[in-house]
Amino acid sequence: MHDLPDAGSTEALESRLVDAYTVVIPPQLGARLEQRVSAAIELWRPSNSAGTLPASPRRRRLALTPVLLAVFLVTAAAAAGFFHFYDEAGGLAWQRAEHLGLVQTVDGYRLTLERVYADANRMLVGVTVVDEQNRGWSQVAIDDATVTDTSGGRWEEASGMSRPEGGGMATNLIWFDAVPGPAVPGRRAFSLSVPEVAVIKVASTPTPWRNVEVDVLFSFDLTVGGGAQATPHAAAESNGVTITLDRIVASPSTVRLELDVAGIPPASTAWAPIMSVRHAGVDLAVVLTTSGGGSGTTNWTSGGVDDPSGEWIVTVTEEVGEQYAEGTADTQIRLHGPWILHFTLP
Amino acid sequence: MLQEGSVTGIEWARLDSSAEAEGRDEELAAAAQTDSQAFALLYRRHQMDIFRFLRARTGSNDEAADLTAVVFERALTAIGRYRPSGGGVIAWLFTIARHAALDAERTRRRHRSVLAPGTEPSTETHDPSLLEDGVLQRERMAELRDRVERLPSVQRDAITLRYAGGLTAREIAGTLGKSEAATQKLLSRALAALRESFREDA
Repeated sequence: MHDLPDAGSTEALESRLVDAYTVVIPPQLGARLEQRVSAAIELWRPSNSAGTLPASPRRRRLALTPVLLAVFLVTAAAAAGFFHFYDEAGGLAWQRAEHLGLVQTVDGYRLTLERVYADANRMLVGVTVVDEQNRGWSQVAIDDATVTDTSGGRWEEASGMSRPEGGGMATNLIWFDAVPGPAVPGRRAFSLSVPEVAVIKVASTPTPWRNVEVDVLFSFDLTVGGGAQATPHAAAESNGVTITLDRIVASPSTVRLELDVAGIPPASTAWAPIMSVRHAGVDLAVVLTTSGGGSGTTNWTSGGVDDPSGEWIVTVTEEVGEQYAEGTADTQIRLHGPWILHFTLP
Repeated sequence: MLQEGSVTGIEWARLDSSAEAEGRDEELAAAAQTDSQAFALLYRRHQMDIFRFLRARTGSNDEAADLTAVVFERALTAIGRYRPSGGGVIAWLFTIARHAALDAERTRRRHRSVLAPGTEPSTETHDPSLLEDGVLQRERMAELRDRVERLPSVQRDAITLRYAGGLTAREIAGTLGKSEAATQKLLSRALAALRESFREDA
């Protein structure tokens, strides 16, 4: 038996704990795991496919097959033309974005800021990255990016997509949330910082990404579109639970709705609404809900509105929470409404 | 920082345990309700975190790999019912993982009584990094893991979720069904208990 070490400082203990649990999946086990989960995904069929068609059998077969994937991406993407991805994934915001075409090259990595769009809710940025030295990467991608405006306001990154266009090229769409506060439309100066390019060479499973420092900074002027912000405090009560719409930000890219819930029973997790939004005879699908852990949620629609004036109807049909208990299956709790909130924007 | 690769035509970057990462997870989970490709990406984003946690809980690479598959099989069948909540998708996945580990533990206990001595679950490791370390270092790591195993179960879970699974306090809170503040205290108490165990042995 060796001498027992003492625990050292808290930092040292934490460091040792991280080391103690550092493992890699042995290749044979990794392959077995990959095979099993791939098979499950291939056989899976969504039980509720409202709205979106399930992936085709061919796409299912491709899922989780990195080697096949690399081949597929090289051939399919080369044929597709990369602006197709921007059009398809960027939607209306991409179509309305300003063409910039700013280029910077660092260590053979060429980054092109293709287009930018911004309104009261979000900014969309399209950046193409190319490895001009053909270093043999299976994929390249933009990793982290930040946007600041001239007033020092930071637009926080909300989500992003990167599509490989062959091993040494990728198209990247990144969405940023607007700086909190009143929306100020008009011409403004911005900077986009891309500190690193991520690269990967598929050789085994799992394959780590590497980050290559590039420190690219794009400076540009952009006309920020408008949008309506309001605090309607519209409320509805059902079965002792009251839901209030604290704030709405409606713009062409999305509609952001901040809901507060009162009188709801405790759950192991935050409650999430199942809801729909209707304005000017059009239903907007809510595609993303986040919670800060309290009684409120922030909800985003898949598309936005050009003219937010007029009547709005927000319908919450259910509030869903989860209850966890040691040794038992998870229990989902569903509170049925509906809670129907009416309000008008000027 | 990017953690893993793309497997489909659209690849989503994972940012380490951040709000951005959670936002991406939520979008993937929403898409996964009707698109298996999105689920495949969720799997790729979190397979190593889940495997590390289960490796810590079971002490066996074989069992951890099998349980990791079980976790994602269960998640696949339940993804249609997933709704965003505290701690996000990762907390939801780790809740499934924790239950899978508990189920496996119960099964082991049932089988243990009929096994011959010396047929305990394997605790061998194939980690190259560990093989390169000295015997003393390996013993110390094993000793530390043993000390964690001797903690009360909720403290043990918090430690393994934090240091093996790499979860934030908020994500651990979502997994254990506690508040973030209570989870911070739980982690502090667990670390203090570990330190105390060293002191007692000294």
